Amino acid sequence: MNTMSSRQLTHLFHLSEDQIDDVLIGDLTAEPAAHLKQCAECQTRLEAAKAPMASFATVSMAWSERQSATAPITLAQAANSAGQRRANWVATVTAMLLVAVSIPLTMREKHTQVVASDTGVSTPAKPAAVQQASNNAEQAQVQPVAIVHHEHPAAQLAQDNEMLQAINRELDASVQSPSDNFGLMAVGGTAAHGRNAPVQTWD
Amino acid sequence: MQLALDVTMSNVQVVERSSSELDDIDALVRTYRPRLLRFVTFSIGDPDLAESITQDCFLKAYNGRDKFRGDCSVNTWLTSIALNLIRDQQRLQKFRFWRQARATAIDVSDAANFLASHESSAEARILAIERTEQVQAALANLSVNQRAIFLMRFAEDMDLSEIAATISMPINTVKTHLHRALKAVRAEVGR
Ligand SMILES: [Zn+2]
Repeated sequence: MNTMSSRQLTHLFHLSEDQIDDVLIGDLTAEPAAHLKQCAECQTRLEAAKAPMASFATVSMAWSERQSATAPITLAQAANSAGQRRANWVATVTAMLLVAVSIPLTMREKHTQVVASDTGVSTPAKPAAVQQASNNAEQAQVQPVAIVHHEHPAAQLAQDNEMLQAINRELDASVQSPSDNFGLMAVGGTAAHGRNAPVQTWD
Repeated sequence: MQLALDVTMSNVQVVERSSSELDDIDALVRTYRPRLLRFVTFSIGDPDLAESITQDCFLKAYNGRDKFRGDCSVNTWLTSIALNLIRDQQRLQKFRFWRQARATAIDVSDAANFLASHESSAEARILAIERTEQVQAALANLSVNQRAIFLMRFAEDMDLSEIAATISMPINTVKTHLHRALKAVRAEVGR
């Protein structure tokens, strides 16, 4: 009596459709993989199953490359102004800390003038003490996420989510910060994009 | 006082310049825009909104570049940011879902002209377009997440664990979505 091992059996059977899909997905177990290796028929079926995805990848990329070429975006400009705002903001927070130490309280109460930014957006004037408080709140929001590498995928995912949320917070803060205007004052000497704005000085 | 501020500014600039290819927004866009635009466009089925999401994605990546840890590829990182933006749009219902927008909103038919003609015959290019439209038709019946997963696997060539991490789903869920997508493709091709 001749019994076959399961390994010999799998060599006899062609791959099911699900197993063909397992190959495409990158999830094939060892035994069907062994069959595939020595079965020309299954290899042909696999190539046929791959073809739509291969065509899609090529054609969609051609479509997207053409789309990218014909519809240029002015991203660098946008990023540079966002980056400039962000740099101003970082400088402002730092400057605020210096100012808080070196400027007497009586001096700060004078600085309540409205200052227009280059984006054409102006914010209501606030007493410097109030602005300082909101700057401090924003500073607390954008504490960098500690970079720790986890072995555990769930911990890694949680960390990734935290990172993305931090990005969201930081972007929101850099766009909405009222310190944009304040930045013009603190970095006042340069007034790089102050244009018509009345720039205040600290003396 | 002014001196102190100047010193602080230059310190800030040193920190700002310290990282990688992410610092050059032009190069970043040049390198990754076609892939990212494809991912977003074919995930949501709305080419116009895809342009704006792609742009937001680059801005978000650029402004958050300090947070990039280099433990995945830049492309994967951009894809994960794009996924978050797509989800935001979904929550806000800002785009018509693929089925409501017509599948023909993304017209790949003339993309044949942009396929390298020295690599394939005219017949092969026509066949490639036909197959692509079959895949598009199959994608139309999937959810946004299923399409995104399909694209990560078959357009971005990401492996299962990478996809699972990027979309924050268990690997078995990713497999289930991929099997569903492949069945849909097979059904379209067999028509
Ligand atoms: Zn076989």
